[in-house]
Amino acid sequence: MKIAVCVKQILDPELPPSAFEIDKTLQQAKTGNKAQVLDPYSGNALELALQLKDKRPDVKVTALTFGNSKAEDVLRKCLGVLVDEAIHVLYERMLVPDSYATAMVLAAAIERTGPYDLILCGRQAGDWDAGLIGSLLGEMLSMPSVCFVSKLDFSDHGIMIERYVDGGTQVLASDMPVLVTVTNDETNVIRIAKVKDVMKAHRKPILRLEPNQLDIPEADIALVKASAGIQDLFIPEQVSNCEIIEGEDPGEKVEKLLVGLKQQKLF
Amino acid sequence: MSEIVVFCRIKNGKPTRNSLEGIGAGFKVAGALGISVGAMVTFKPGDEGAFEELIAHGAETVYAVQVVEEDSLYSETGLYAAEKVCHEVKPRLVLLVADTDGKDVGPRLAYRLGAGIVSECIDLEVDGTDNGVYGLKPVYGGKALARIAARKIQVFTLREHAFEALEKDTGRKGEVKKIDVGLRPEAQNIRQIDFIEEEHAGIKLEEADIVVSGGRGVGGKNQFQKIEELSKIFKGAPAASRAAVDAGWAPVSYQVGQTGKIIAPNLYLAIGISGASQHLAGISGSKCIVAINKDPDAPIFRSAQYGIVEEYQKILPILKERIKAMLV
Repeated sequence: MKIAVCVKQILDPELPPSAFEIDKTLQQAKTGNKAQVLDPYSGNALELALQLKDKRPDVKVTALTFGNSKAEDVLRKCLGVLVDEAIHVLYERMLVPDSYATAMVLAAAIERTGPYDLILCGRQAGDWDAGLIGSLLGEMLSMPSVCFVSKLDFSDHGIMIERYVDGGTQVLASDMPVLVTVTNDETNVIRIAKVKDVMKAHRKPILRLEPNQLDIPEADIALVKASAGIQDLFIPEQVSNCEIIEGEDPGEKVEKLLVGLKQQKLF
Repeated sequence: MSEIVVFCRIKNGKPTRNSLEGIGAGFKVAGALGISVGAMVTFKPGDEGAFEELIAHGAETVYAVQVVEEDSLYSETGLYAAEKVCHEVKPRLVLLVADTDGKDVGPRLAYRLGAGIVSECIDLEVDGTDNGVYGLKPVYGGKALARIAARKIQVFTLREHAFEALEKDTGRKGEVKKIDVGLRPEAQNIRQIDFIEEEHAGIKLEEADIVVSGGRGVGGKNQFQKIEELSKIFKGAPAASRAAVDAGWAPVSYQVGQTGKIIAPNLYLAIGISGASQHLAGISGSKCIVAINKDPDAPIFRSAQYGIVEEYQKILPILKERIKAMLV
């Protein structure tokens, strides 16, 4: 059984606003030497795949990313937590591809290296928060897709899926192949790699592909040309009017806070 | 003919709040574009009363698609119906509020229509010179805003509660067009086995006037109970940041933020929460945010109205006793 996990490298979301800068020409954040990390939802998706692999030894997990040469770091991280195979679709052009272009390239890479029984993506990446890739991939691969999945398990004939929806948790049984997008949950926090595995990961092979080596349908290329265009990217002005409550001791601070809240009739 | 189609949903015989907000968003740009707003819904027999409600909230046309049975995944039913309606109506813009279904249907509908898509917009703008529509969307966890055009036919998904519904006015006129889309071909083999309704001991988080919320700074599962206790004393609801959920201290149903619940209480008490932008996205509608954090540089203070720089362990017991005394 083959599982593909699509992962993304993003600018560290914990980067403080004071260090955040925009490249106006490229309409994206400046990365430079700033820390880049595995997108947190990609991590949740990876963990679910690894949990299935823990349960059944015949499961082979492939991590797949589309990114520049630096994105190799996230594939090394995936190899460190013991995925079986890593695929890097490289782009070195300056412009950042939009969601349609990215989904198109990932779909072609999946067609080329698959078939897979299960495809996992993060529900959205923590940089642009678009949340489009998984659903677009499902359409492009003509595969059913289920969003906001927190848990996966094998069932007699297919796979059990738990997903968060408005108002509760839905439990589904699905045949494979199926594509799921993964949301965070206390049970799918990405595991910590063992030191020896991290060392070994540096020497493991990575399959590198260029977009022009992939078979991308004409119709999809037309769509990319017609899709979203970033007109502007800017840092919004933030006006803070926070009143920091001073006081001799915690008791005085609480009293002052309560006076403020009562004045506003907040309770 | 309506040229903005808003993806709406009827639940328990009534349009959802998100549907009405979506229509409100459509109205924001319809005037400048000189086009009208229509609502697209699926319905079951007995739901017809909801059409009037959609019209009273601004829908000039209701495109109603009757379904016999909804799939386990409503998005499948909704997507199929929306695709058929859009092929018939040929709208210039399609709007979906980005709730569970909207987020799922939006990109797939865009792909099927050959449309561009911009997701999770907090505002829509019309460019006066070429009548282009742009979506304004927070990116990089809210550190930046992007203005994005989805060219050609456009699909926008809208952040929940970023737009206001129009006042209900039963004097508004509108037309209901029933559209027969036929049966959806071969349903995919995904079956619902169970639905576990979200539990909440007291008041529902989305409906609470007062929310007491804890983050990474709370420090542990046992300590998190103090957050829950305080919320009870306030007669409010407990909540958590993603960090506290990932640490296993609080259930996911507590999670507030861009990918958790988006809430707008009167009072939001943030305890040991640093205030990552993703978290702030879920609480920006709060009337008053109070932050208690020992780190004076925590970003949460910039969004708060009142801040106390102190270890929360020193503040909470006093606050608890004082509130208890006041509410007796």
